[in-house]
Amino acid sequence: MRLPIRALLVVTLFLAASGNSVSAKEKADPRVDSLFPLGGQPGTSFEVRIRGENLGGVYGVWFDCDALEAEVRKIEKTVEEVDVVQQAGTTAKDTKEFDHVVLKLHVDHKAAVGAHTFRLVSRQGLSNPLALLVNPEPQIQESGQPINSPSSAQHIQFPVVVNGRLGHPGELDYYAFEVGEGQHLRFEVITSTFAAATVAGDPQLILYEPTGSWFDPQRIKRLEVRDETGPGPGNHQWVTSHFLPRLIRRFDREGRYLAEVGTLEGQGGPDYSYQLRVVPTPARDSGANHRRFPGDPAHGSSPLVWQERDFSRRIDRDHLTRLWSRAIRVPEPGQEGKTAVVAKDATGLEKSKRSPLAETIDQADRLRLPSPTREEEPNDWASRAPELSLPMTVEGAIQHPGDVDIFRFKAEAGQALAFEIETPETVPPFFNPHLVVIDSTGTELVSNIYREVAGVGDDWIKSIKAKTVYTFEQAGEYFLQIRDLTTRRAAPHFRYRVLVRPQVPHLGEVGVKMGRGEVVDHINLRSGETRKLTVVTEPEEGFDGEIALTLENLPTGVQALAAATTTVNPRLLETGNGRGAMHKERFFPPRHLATIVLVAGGDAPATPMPQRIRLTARPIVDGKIGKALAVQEMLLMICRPETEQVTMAEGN
Amino acid sequence: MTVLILGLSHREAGSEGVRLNSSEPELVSIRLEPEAVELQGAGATRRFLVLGEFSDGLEREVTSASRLRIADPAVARLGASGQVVSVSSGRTELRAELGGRAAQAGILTVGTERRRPFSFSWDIGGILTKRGCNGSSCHGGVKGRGGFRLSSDATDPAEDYQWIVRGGGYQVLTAEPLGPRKSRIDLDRPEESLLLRKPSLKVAHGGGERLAAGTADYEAVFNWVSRGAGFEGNGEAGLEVERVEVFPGEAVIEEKGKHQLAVTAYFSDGRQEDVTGQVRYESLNEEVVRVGEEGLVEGVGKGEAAVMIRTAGRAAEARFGVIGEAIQEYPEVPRRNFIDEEVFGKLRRFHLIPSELSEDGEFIRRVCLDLTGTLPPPERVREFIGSREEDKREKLIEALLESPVYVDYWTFRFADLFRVRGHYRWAHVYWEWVRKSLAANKSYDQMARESIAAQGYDGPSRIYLIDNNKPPALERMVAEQFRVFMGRRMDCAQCHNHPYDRWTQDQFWGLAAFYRRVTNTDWAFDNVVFDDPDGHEVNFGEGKSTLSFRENRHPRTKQLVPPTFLDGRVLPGRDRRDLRRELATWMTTHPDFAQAMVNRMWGHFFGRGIVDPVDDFRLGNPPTHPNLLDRLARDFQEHGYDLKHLMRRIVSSRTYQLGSRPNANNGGDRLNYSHAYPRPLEAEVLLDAISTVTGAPELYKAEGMLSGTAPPGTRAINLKYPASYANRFLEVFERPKRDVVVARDGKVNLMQALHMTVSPTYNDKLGKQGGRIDRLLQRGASNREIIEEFYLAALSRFPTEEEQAGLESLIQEQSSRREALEDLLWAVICSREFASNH
Repeated sequence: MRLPIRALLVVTLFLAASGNSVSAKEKADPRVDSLFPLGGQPGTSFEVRIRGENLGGVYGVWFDCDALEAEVRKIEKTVEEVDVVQQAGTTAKDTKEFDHVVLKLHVDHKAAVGAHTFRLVSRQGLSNPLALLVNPEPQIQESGQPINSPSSAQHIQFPVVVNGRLGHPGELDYYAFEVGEGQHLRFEVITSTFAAATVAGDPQLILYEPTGSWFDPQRIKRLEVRDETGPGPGNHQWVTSHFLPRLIRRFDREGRYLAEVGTLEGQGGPDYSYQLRVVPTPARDSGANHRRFPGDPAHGSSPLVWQERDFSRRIDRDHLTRLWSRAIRVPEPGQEGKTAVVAKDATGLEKSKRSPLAETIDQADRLRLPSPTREEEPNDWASRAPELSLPMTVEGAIQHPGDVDIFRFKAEAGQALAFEIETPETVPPFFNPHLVVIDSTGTELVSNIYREVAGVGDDWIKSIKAKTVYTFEQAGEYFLQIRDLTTRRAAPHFRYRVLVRPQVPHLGEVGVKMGRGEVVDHINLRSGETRKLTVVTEPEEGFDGEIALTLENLPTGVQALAAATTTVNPRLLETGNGRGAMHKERFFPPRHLATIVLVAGGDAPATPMPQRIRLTARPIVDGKIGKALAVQEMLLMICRPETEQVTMAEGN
Repeated sequence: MTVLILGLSHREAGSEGVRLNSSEPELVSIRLEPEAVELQGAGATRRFLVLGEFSDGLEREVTSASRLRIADPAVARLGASGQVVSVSSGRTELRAELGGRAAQAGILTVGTERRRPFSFSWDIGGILTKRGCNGSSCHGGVKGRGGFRLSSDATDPAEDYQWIVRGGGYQVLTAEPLGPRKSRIDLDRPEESLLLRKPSLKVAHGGGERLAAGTADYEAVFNWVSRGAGFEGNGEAGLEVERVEVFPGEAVIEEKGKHQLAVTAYFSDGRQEDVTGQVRYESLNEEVVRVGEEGLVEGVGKGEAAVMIRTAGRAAEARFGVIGEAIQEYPEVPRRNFIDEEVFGKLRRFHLIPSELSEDGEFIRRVCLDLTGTLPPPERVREFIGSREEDKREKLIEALLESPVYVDYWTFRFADLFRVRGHYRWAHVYWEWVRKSLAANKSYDQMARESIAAQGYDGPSRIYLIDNNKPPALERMVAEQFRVFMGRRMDCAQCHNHPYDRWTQDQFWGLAAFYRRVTNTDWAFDNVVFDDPDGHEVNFGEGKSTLSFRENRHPRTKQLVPPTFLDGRVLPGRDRRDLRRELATWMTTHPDFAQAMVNRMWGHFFGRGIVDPVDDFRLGNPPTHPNLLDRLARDFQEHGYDLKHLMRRIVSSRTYQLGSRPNANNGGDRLNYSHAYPRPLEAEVLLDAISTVTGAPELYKAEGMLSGTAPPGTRAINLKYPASYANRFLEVFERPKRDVVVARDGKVNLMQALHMTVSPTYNDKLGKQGGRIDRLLQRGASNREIIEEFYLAALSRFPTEEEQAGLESLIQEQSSRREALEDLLWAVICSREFASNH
């Protein structure tokens, strides 16, 4: 499969090297902090200014698709005063050097709408990613004149995307617009850099009506403010969710209104770029858009990313097929019906105890799940619960306060089942599906609430999980109960999809990770250098075979060697926090670590553009190796900082 | 059949004695209180008081000077203490005569063949209460005394009975007695009972002599022991005392004047008993009134004070105003609504004359600060003062209530009340909920329900996460929400029965049970508050992986306590799915809920609550205007707990709009709202006012990781939570941190005085470029215009001619006009008139 990823490089810059010796600074990877504007419309060209550090050697740009092109126009340095937080929590002034790269960027008219990933390419290697937002609406920039008061608001006409920046702390930007009576408008504000929430602050959007007041005829009246938490823009890992102001408002009166963009705590500075999107919309959002955030990736999630425990992962009829593709083997033609599992399950039961159901679904022609069963109210009582056969997928919604949906199923003694939950529209913390399995006496056997000792002190902290496993001790009739974690929260868009299936021992998430478990997505390697990579594998549901790992598509002069290591980062082995947990085995798989060392030979030629390398995993059981599974791709650059001139090249 | 037979009273009274000397007022008429009674049962009693109306307009209690006679002694007789005692069923009349004036009261006696059954709770408990044995400083204290503990004022007679009859030493932390049990009574030799020997000082007693041998109370206890010391008499169920009433509930006396109290107990079967001599009296201010053991109140000094009446499990209070001189020609005072009826009615009774209506400048400043926390702009002050519209005050009130600044200010006030704090993201969503609620004028009961029963990820649910990102301890939640929404402080009752109030430890933990399930998910930013049947869990194992569920166990009895409302009603099991919603419904429909808010609001607008402190309703802290409190609460409830309606009702009253200047009659009044009392501005409002008057907005900069700056022009009242931006001025003027329930006392301290002199808040703002002084100078304003502008901006009034002339002359004397103006403005913003709302 050819990935729709193409790097475009236009070399325009020749930089004088400081000599053959490589300074510590030159060893540091390039880092980008922000860009302005945040994006553009398909079929347009515009200048983008990127701010960061160690960008002196930038000569190109890497994009996640070939619908975007860029040309490096200029690189500048600035020395800026910064606040440095001291140990006591106070701040002190200091100065710091920053680089600014100016790009001429072209967005092809075929470019997909959404967040595109891009990185700068320099002699020091590849930068961290940033998101470039492509929107179909016309784009304008914040006025060059101050727009920091209602009276100086910039007039806008919708649909529009305004690219603005809160250039200094405490800055507010005002935009004025005219609406007709009864008109619905959708407003969204998105910012670009959210590597850590406290760096960029949380954007805030407030709508006002310039009504004046008895005290002040210029006073504006606050109409609405609505913030939500959600994922950061693009297809990257974020430390945490952040505020994404978005709201739909019906304007009861025609007239002039104002939108104010700021941050929650008045942060501001050169990195505080934002986009304000204002588009007409037919009516108030009924919840259908809860899932979609303005910064969703343009190309969707990587097909290699395996999500075992994300409420938003898709549980469709092919879910089992995908699961089995990560098992020791997928049933071969002529081998259907044979047990594909040689393992203990998650609770330690021998294979002989496994349900015949598992045997049944081993057959390739039965891998597709039956159509989901939709709940039919009332099903709030066990006596009215419909009986379903395993494997089963049920769909429903927690529509009214106190709504409880109950389904009935039979399990056999020793049967090991997995319970998976998807929330197709509204995700936690807004809709928090609480799944409980009870027996015929009403005793709770298992739920998706996980408890661990965490935080300050010795409090048991609870969290809801999108998957749990359980092995039934006795044969009998059981009830699956689904409701919201609260007793009153409910809405038509509180939809769920629950899959109950026999456990399938399989390879779960695999990734090259760093200290706290962050995925390594690019590597800058200098000639003659080695780099240790830690691969974390998660065998799921009793998988106890070996995993063979391979790094493919390495550049010339680079080798991947298996390594033994004397130091193990305990954080990478942690599931839960280790201070105490209840039934951890139902919620977390064990973790295995492997070490691979990348070695770049002294004569390894520089790669002017990053090369995509691929980590594949092959399960091994009883000496038999399974099918290769591509589990992660990374961008690798071989750098030669001492090189004075970089020649034009093209990536893969 | 009614038989009326005239008889002689026990007391003969002459016709003299109604005027001590010729300068004293004359008796105009007398009346008996009550006018009629129905006495049920044998030995039922009732005390009558004779009240005389005098020519000076004052009503005085003259019972002891009057001649009392019962028409038919076969139906009722006068007891030794002057009370009427039923003899046989029938109807008769009590006649009082004094100074040629006479009054009658009807007496109906029924069921005189039935004697009231003995009740340990009432008969023995009453004696223990009257004698102070179970007072909070004696055996009714937290730990009791000498190992012997009684419930405070016999609120728990069953437990008292056990400690007396079965004996044993009391322990605070366990229900188990300390040491071997030994009864405190001796059934074989009653006189040897410890219960009698100690208080009669037959053996040493730290509490002194409380029950002297031979007294009626001693005999009563002795007889009870002699008869077997039962809990109820002869197996009969004891009668409940439904209420205890005192007459008068409110009265005026002169300095050295006297007034007898009459206390009546009402039983569940309709029986009445005069218990005037069987209760404990306590003056809450002995500098105003003293009260004797038999309920005779004596005026000591001018003022107002309450007398508490305590008896077994019940309490009442009587409020006395002590006046210097009665007013014969009381002026007619216009009334605008029921607030004026109540306040002015009491002022009339207490012979206090209200001040004149406030001047327009005084009113506009007061109402702007009270409704919006904002000084009125000078041009608005000019406009208002110059207006001749009759309804200009009403129009102004409406304009202010609809102003966005109203929402700003009351968001700030309610953010205080609801303690908006914690992580900045949570504080933000919590603050937004408060703001949206006020902007929409959401009914207060709905706000309360949303807060108490909050769940999920919404703003109000953050109240359960403001302490260390997890739900606070059960006891803290109960105490705080009860204090905020019901105006009662139950904190003490978490460890022991409340020593000064009726709250018991059982009641406290019964309420706590409603909160025991509160917990939350995760430890990151997206915490969801929910109710888990397992409750919030704490690992008590010092890092071990042991799990202890948070249980609602009574700390003393160690028993699990079910969710129980204050009235003792246990929440049925079928209703326990959503405990806090049940509690929220109960709380917001309880009469205390409306009372608590109207009192809080009253405290805001008048500087003191009808009950003060505003969240300290309790027995020993009675309301100054109980009827007003009831009517305000009812009005608030009837208008859907509409906060704007409540505020409008208050600020529209003449009472609110009275001037702050006292007249010759009411200068000493601090309780009856005869004039407006100056109140210090809140720290945030004061800082905003200084910024407004100087024309130099404050800049708020966050410290630490957030490193933000509030947008220029941000007012202190718009800062979402105290931790967001440090500010020295706000700290010095004691901006609350909202770590605990906020109580702003407005006390002045030395730091504030120093701050006025040397701090940049004052000095830098005065010299600020582009500030008010700058603008006036650039405009070429004269000294006269500038002085007027300063006064209008800061004090909402024109300077008097004397002030104007004096200040102009001072400015002219200075070498630097700019410095002179800065000094003048500094003096204005440091003045008491500026720093207070009056």
